Amino acid sequence: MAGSKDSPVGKSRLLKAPRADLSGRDPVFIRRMLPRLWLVASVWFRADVEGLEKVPDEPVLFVGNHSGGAGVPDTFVFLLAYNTYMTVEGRPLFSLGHEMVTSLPGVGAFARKFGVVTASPRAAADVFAQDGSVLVYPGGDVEALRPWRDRHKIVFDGRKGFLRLAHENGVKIVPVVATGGQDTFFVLNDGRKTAKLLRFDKLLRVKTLPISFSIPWGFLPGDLPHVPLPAKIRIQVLDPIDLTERFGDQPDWDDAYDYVTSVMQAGLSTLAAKTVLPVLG
Amino acid sequence: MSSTATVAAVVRRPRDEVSAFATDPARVLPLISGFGRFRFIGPLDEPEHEEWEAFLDVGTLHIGGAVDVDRTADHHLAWTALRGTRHTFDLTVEPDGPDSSLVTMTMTISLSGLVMSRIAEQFARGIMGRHLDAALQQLRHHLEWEQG
Repeated sequence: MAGSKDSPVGKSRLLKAPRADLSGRDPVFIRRMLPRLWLVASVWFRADVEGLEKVPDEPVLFVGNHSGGAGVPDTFVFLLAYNTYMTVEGRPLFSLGHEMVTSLPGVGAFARKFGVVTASPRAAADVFAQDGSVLVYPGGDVEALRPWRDRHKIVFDGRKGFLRLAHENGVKIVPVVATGGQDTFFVLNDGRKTAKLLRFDKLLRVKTLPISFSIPWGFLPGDLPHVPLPAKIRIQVLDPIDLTERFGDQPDWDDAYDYVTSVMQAGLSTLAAKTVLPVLG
Repeated sequence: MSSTATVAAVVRRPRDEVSAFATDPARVLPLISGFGRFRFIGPLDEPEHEEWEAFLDVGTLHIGGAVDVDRTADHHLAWTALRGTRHTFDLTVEPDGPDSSLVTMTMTISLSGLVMSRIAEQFARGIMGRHLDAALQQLRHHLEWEQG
C-alpha cells in the first residue's frame, strides 16, 4: 500500500488506464447480477459462506486471502454473499483491485460496477468517509498465483499497508479466509524470480510469473482469465480485530502483521480441514 | 497396508511451555476443532496410560474411537486405537533454538479390505494431513498469541 494518497499504489509504467473510483459502483447492476451469480456460485462452486453475522455494524476493512489467479472466483462469491446478507441498499462494499483488473476490457467494467476500485490509500479512505467497507487482498498477484502445494497458506509477502490503512482510518479488520479458489486452476511453481528477471515487477506491477495450467489455455506463463474448474468454494468470516485495542495507538507493525497472518493461517487451515477431496470439496 | 500423514511447524515458545500444553490431552483436545468428540474414560493398568475416546470428524467419516493414550515419554504424546478406526497418533515436541519448538504430528491409519480400502487410504492421507495441519496451526496460534 505504498504510494501517494492520490495515486494508485506503485503505479506501473505501462498501465495508464483511468482510475476506477467509487462512482463506478452500480447498485442497479449488482441487483440484476445477483441471481445469475448465485446460480454460478451454487451450482458450479457449491459455495458456502459462513460467519457474516460477525461483521460489526460499522465500516470495516475485510482482509482476505487471494486465490484463483485471474479468475478470483472466491472474490465474486464473497461479493455475492455480502451484497445479499447486508442487502444492496445496505453498507456498500468496495474491493481494492489491481489496476490491471480494473482496466481490462469487459472484465474491468463488470468489476467496477460491482464496486472494485483501483487500489490506493485515498480510495479506501474515501470509502470509509462514505460509511462504506473495503475488501482488500494484501497478497495480491503473488498470493493469487501461489503454487498449488501452498493453496492452504496465507502468502501476504510481507505487505503491511493494510494494517496502516485500518489503523489510520480507525476501522476494525475483519479477516476472511477462503478455500477452493486455487483448485479452479493449477499453479506449478513460484514464479517470483522469473517476474523479477523479466522486469515484470517494474513494468506491469506483476510480481510473479509462474507456470499455470488452466482451461482453455493449457500450460501458460502467468495466467489469463480462464474457465474455472468446478471446485467447492468455502469462505469463513473470522472475528473482527481491533488493532488499536490490541496493539495501542502506535502499533509495532511487525507484531500486528504476525498476529493478523497467524489468525488467518489458523482460520484457513481449519477451513481447509473441511475438504474431503480436492476440487470436489 | 496403512497410510501415514505427518506435519510439522515451529512454535515460537520454549519447549517446556509447548510440551506442557501439547502433550496433555485434557488441554490440547478441546483446542483442536477437528476433534468433534473426545472424552476421558479412565486410567489403564499401565502407569501413565489413560483411555480416551477421540474422533476426528470428516463429514460422513469419523476417524477414531477408544484410544490408549501413552504419556510415559517426556515431550511426547502418543496413542493407539483400542476400538474403532485402527490408527495411531504421535505428537513430539523438540527444541528449535532457545525460545522456540518444533512440533511434529503423525497419524497412521489402517483400513480393512483390499482394493477399495487402498484407494480410501490414499484419500485418508490427504484428509489426515489437512486435519493435522489445522490442529498444529490452532495449537501454534494459541500458544504464541492467546495464552497468558
